[in-house]
Amino acid sequence: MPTPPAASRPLEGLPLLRLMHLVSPALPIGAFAYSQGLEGAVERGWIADEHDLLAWLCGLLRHPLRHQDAPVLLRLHAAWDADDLDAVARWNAWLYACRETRELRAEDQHLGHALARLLAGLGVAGAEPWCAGGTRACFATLFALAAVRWQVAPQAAAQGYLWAWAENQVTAATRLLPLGQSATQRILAALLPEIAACAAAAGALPDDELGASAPGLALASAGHETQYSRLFRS
Amino acid sequence: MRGLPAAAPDTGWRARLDLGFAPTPGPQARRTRLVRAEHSGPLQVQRPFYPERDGTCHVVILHPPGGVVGGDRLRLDAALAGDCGALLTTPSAARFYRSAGAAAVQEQTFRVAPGAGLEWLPQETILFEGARVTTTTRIELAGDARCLAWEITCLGRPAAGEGFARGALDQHIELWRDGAPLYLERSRVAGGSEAQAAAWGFGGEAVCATLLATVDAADACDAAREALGDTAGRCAATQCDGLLLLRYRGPSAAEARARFIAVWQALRPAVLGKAAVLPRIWHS
Repeated sequence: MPTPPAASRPLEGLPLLRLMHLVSPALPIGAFAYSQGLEGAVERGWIADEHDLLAWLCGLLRHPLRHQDAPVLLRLHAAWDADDLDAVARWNAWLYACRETRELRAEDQHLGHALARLLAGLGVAGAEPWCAGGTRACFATLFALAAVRWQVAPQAAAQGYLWAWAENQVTAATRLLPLGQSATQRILAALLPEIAACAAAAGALPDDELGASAPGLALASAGHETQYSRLFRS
Repeated sequence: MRGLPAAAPDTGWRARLDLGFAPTPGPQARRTRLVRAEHSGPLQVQRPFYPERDGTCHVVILHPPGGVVGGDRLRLDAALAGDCGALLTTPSAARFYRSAGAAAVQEQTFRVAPGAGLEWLPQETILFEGARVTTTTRIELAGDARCLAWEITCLGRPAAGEGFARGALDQHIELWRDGAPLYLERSRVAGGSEAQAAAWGFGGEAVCATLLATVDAADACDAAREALGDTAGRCAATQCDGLLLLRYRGPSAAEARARFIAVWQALRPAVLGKAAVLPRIWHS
């Protein structure tokens, strides 16, 4: 039997451990400060319970994340892997331009810069130029860089990225809604097959299928800017 | 519906309108002239109006058939040369009718040279029940070019009691400067889909609309919010990277238009350096 290509081999050993490092909520990039529009949606009464939250997160996974974040992360992975810095810059700019509000853009930049600094501190080649405040650095851009340097295969990287997003969203929700621990775990468990499907679909998505706006998320996020009482920066 | 033959994909006519704007040559006159208006098929332009002292060219784009069917392809190109100003609008809503199969395709591309200012302020686009529409509005700015543009899209005809349980919209709204993307919005919604009903998506509302304007003034967002007043959560403004973005999601294209006009009036001095002058066609 021929050895399967690296991209489809199950992740194990150091690459697996490095992915776990990268998606850990303890990664000091400040993701806990952002709700990505969730706080605005709760304020508007669109998310009031476990059922609403699961529907909101599944919808985002099936639409913007599936048509924007995940497929662009895979393209960034390929671009870093090929040392194609023009393609990295192009997809970074493309993803940033899909962020529909000031807070969503600020969040992405903040996390991107923080991850760039963390990676540069660990000696990851290529991270340094993305640390400067003036550059636009999407989180996915630096996440893809880390995945490539740490031999995390594209699909595993996409799954990890989506998992980190989901866990951060659910954690934010526990501060906004009266959700018990078992409800939180039910939601995360229900999101796992959605995450796997999202990453798989993203891998097959042609360029002309890229892009999916979330008008409700944009409204909630823009409205959050003037919300009277806020726990989160987005 | 009953027994009507489906339109074959290639029976739709193609309409094209290619507009060019340029400043009047010479030192003192600054009137923007419509220097090119080539059309094929039923997309036309009226004689320009000049209701403003600075010579901004007001142009009304006509589509005499009034409606678009599946398989039709419409294309509008407008290019503004450096240091001129043009305001483009339409006299009535764009209507897309039910399609038995093929999508109707509309492409609108605006190229704006340094120093020029574009306003694209069309009436709403209405998708009839069962319409299948792919539409692209792409604005390409060069250098310090400015723009203020909106798109208002209505799924179904709520006033006539018609929803949008079938059909599909694929709408691109793109703003680029010097080849780099500033804002990319792609709305994809199928009748009866999760995206149509969900809170993160269309939220069950018929109308979704976006206004975008290039503006650096730090207080532009505050000015927009003041002009909006209380929107009952249906409209919100945000400002980033030299852009003011306004979104509406609600039951009424007329409400979206009224709110957008209020913001346009408030922001025009900051975006284009001149007070708002309502296009004549809006009065009729």
